[in-house]
Amino acid sequence: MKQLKKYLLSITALLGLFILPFNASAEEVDMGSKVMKFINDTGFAQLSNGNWLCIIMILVSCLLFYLAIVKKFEPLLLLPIAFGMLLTNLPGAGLYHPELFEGGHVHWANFVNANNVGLLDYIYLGVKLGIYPCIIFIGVGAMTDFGPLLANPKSFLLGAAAQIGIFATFLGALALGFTYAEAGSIGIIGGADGPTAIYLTSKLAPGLLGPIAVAAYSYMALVPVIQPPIMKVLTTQKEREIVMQQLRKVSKKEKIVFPIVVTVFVSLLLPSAAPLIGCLMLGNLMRESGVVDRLSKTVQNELMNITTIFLGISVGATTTAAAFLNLQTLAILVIGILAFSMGSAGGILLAKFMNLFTKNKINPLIGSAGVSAVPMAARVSQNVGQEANPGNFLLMHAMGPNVAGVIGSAVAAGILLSFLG
Amino acid sequence: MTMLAINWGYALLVTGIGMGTVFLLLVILIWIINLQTKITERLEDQVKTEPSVVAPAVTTDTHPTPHEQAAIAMAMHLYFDSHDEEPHVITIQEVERRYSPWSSKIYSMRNLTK
Repeated sequence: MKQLKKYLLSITALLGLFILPFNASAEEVDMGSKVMKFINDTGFAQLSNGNWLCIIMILVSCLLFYLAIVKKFEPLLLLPIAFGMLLTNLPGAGLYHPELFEGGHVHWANFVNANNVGLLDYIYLGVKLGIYPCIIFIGVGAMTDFGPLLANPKSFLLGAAAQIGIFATFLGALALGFTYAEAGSIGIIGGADGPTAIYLTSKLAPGLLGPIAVAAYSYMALVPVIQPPIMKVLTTQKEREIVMQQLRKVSKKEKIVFPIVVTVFVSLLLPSAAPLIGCLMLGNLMRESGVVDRLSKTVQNELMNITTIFLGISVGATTTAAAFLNLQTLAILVIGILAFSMGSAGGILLAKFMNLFTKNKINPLIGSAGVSAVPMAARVSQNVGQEANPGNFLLMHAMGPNVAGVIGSAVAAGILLSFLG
Repeated sequence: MTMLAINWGYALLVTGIGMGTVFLLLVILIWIINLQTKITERLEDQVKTEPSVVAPAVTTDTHPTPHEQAAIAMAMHLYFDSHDEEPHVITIQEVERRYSPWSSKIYSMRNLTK
């Protein structure tokens, strides 16, 4: 009995120790309202308060995860984009605030209050200021061999013809009711060049950045699905079997002079294309000069990978439910695929036209590589060519129009920027 | 209504000038590349066709060449029949290293489970 008494007393003392502080604070704050506020602040509560569109966006991000992880469609970019989409659509997380970039401007004054700024807002500044696409272009330049283009300069024409998709889509988008700036941004999907599309859209129509980036990268990943039927419809079996002449060897001097000449010439003629072309050629000069191997390797690997993460996640962040779930997005996805198809067709048709006059026949299949999905489009030309003639190797021939397409789409972006910007 | 609201003249102008500029610029680049190739080939041909007359080796350097130095050294060695005298004492200098987990071998080895 005495022991039980002692035991009860100790329990009472312990309870008193724990409860007393709560009783003291209970006098100052209302516990009930605090708990209710906590519950209301959770994402689940916000989902039930009419934010159900976020659930659809989370499902869309899951679809992109599936395409990236299971189907391996451009996973390097699609995965960060999908994750950015997931993060930005989590209610209450406050990682991205579109109002900070409203009207196409960065509202720097609002960045002062750190409580109103999310992590993705800071990362998105790199897109908004046009930094990430240019850094990516340095890496692309360092990974690109312009040798096949220099060996067969006629490839430039095929790269130029493939840009018809951009301008035809520009007209199509205008007809559908988009503004000039929006139509220009949608048209650039036809160039099949992700960084260029992001760069131009961030300058002309930042509101459409999410849908345009998703469309551009999705279609680039679908090149092996989209292009072969177009190539087969527009060419005959005989044309697909054409074996092209062996390319000449290009000297190192030519490869070194080329990026410098292109930068000077293009930038003087079209200053608005200078950031993209300049960065592309800087990367290429690092590669070809052979004196800055460390820098060349860095821009090809670490720098490009880091930038890809930031670019992907911040582009994904722009796909808020309000910006993505509308008829505009659907229209962009439909026009985008048309732009892409027209670009591919443009290159093939010009190659066929050139065959009417040239002595050394061109296999028209390399024309479709004029869209700048490097090197996927060139690989598709190789595969379709080998289906027709297993002894035909078109890969290096197709790399010419392919890299010409990169220059062509950057030039087209510069033109659209100077007219519509 | 939307179709009528658009200034199609301007849109077609942008398209025409845009496509034209892309073609013009890339055609000029073709011309530049061809010119660059011709110049490079001509320079290389010039180097090849230059007479391969080897100029007489005129030098003001009075130092012996490495070959001459080697020959002189060998001659002196044979003449004097000399070589270094060695003490035949082996010394081992003990190097004391302080223990640091950064340089520890234990941490750099993988302990595989059996």
